[in-house]
Amino acid sequence: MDHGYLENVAQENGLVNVSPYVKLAVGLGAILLSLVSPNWITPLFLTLTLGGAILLLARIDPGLYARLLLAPLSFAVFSVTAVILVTGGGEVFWAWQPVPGVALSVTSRSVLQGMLVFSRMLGGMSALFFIALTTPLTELFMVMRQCRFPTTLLNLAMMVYRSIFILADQVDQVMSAQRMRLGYSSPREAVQSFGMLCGAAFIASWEAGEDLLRAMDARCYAGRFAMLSESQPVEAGPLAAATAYLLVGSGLLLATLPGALSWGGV
Amino acid sequence: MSRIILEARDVRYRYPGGVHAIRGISFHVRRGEKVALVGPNGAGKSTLLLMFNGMLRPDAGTLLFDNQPLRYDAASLRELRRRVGFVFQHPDRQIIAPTVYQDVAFGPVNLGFGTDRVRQVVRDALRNVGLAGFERRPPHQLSAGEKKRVAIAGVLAMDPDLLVLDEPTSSLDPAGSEDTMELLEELHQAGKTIIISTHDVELAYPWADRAILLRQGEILQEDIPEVAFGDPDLVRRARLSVPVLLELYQELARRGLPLPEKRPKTALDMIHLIDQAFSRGARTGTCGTIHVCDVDSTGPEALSRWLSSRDGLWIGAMGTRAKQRAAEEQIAVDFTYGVIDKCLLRALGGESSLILTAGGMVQRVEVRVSAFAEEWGTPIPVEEVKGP
Amino acid sequence: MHIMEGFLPLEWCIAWWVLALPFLGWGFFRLRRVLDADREALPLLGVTGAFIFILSSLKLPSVTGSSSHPTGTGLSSICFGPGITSVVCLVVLLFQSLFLAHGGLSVLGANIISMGVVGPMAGYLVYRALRDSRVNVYMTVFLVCAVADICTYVTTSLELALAYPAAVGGVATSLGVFLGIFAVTQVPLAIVEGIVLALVFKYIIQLKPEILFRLRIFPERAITEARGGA
Repeated sequence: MDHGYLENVAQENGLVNVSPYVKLAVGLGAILLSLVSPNWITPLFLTLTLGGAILLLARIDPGLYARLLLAPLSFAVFSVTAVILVTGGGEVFWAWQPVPGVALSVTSRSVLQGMLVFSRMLGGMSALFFIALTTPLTELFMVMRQCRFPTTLLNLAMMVYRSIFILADQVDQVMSAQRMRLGYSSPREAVQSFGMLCGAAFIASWEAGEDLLRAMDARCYAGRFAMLSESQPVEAGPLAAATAYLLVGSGLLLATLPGALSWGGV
Repeated sequence: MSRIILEARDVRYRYPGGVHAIRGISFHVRRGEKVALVGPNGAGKSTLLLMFNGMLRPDAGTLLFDNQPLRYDAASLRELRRRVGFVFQHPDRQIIAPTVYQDVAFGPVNLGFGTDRVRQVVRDALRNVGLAGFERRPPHQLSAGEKKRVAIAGVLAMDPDLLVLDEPTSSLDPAGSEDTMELLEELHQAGKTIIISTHDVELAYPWADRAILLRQGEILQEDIPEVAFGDPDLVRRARLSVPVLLELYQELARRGLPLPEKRPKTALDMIHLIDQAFSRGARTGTCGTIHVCDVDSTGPEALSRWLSSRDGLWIGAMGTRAKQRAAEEQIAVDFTYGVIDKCLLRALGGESSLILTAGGMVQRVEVRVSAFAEEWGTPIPVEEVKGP
Repeated sequence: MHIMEGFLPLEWCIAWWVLALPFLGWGFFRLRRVLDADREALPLLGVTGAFIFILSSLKLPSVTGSSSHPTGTGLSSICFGPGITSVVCLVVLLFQSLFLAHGGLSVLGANIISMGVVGPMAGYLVYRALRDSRVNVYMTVFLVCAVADICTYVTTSLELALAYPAAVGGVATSLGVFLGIFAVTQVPLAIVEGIVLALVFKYIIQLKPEILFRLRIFPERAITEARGGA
């Protein structure tokens, strides 16, 4: 049962045998570059290259990736529109005063600013997708432990991880049963069915918690959890590739700083 | 080390809601036995099992483990639960950790084993259940049968003396069911005492050394399976059914056919019984040969060389390591469960077979075949495949 | 409402992370205290965190046609109080960004402030005010969840406005614009989530009130009243 979680995709992706540190370095490095970039060039570069890596190296299904890219679309549209309306400067294309005292406008600078924000989002989300699709959370737990993440927090996260999959199956079953009985045919019914679904899920969570505790006691629970012993080793090839990639990205960033070139900058 | 590993003396238990779940139960289990608690839902099987590792405490009566009465302080309970490994009915509710390794390591880690020792016992436990190489897999991607084996590995890693399994095959398909019962047989051969609860009579009948029939919190009958399941009225009162082979035997006896004392437990037994009853006379033609190969001490080239020089052999794989080897070398296997019996059946029909197995089970083949030969008076040749 | 990865400028990402740390620290401290006192709490926290995550992955039935997801902040504040909620929220946000691609890592600090601190705190205040009053259980749950959601939405809009102040009118104008734009989805979300969670409680009270007694969320008489009345 998939539930559409990216974790399941990550468990079997093409880059699963690369060290999680290398993958995190690429992803987090790309996010940083995207945020620091003063123009849309570097984020666009990151979007395209990371997209390529996801599709070609990690061998992720293109349909899935396309759907993922569309997911933040509504937030993007709303927020970027707001930014464009609110920022000013440069030639004014359209002005609007919906309420006295509130001056909104679409100007040349605001459009550029909107483009910058949009491209940063694309770059950032691509990097996030890269991490989410290539690095299973089970590997990340290992990394977190090695980075001295507090044990209590890690234990909590691992319990949440396991519990999610126990619950998700049951929730799916209830939802299918409801759909088959046309529980979502009208708005009022939909809300009622949804409420029942969540209620059933809550009770299922509770019972699962009790069962898990019993199972833990039966195996002499003393407050400890085991950790995976080793993660994939860092290999020279991927490390070199990742370093080169980040250097190219940084170089592009520096080369397109305002003053270095007189186009594309805001 | 006493012979009796677990004993209950007039144990009683009432649920907080008022339901009398256990009404005065007394029995004992000997070391190395396979015991099946059989009864319908609500008979009190799970309740009783939960008392064996101290999760439920009887209101009255005593429970003894290894001749010591159970003590319910924290330290004693920990020790008890290390020695009594409990496998719950639903593996999903028993697997706690994000990966197979971490889950199987849960017991050892909480028992305070060092990192190296943990790694060792986990590796051994996974190997014993046939899941070597599954360490990094997240449990939600496993099949029901694999999850069950992870749960069993989790308790094996603590090296228990007694294994208790609540409805071990309830959520499994027939293949998973067979795998699990065979695994239990392997563990039994390795010296573990095993108690299961089930409402599946066909499961308990051939497997158990002793069957305890429960109904509404009381023991109706406790005996070897042939006797325990042999009385139709009793079985009906227990809301169970008579095992099919036993029923066949009883019908044939009713028709006045000459039958041996020994009740048939497997298809092989039944065939032989029918042969004798209908006086098929002495066997004409020679019997086939049963070849045995120890996969641990035979290399792939020797085995494939041996196989290619023979034709038309039935091939059985007994045990988890044998099945893994067969899968690795892409040997087409005909039997995976009840292998010895099936090969004996073929041998009676003049066909030869090869049994792939490992370790102590090689000897088991020889023992079983010679026991069969003695009982039914039909000698069957056994040959060991030797090779580098 | 999640802010997506890459949307906030770097300086604001850092600022919100820094602001979130003391709250997370306090939440972590409270978590340790709870677990030291009662180690049974860990699986319970685990499954509740999982429940909140799954809740947030479901699509709410929505009038506007766009997809909205429940936040679970109100529920979390009722069950755990605002302290531990911030830590649970950290875990849930992490899972949301990695399993569902909602939110992001650089903006995690900002999202914790809105969804793990301000929202739950507001909800908790409403809860404490109404818990021992004459207001019935369902209305209390509705108000707690709706208020938590509204405050989360206002905080998120403020975070966005601070990062992108208006050329004319500064942060105030910007805030107004963001509030206005997201009101279309967030206000119905708050109302629907409030109703849904009230229904959840109704369901639990009918079927397994022991859970609520055990969690000590509402006084017994309130639950028995709700049971008799509903």
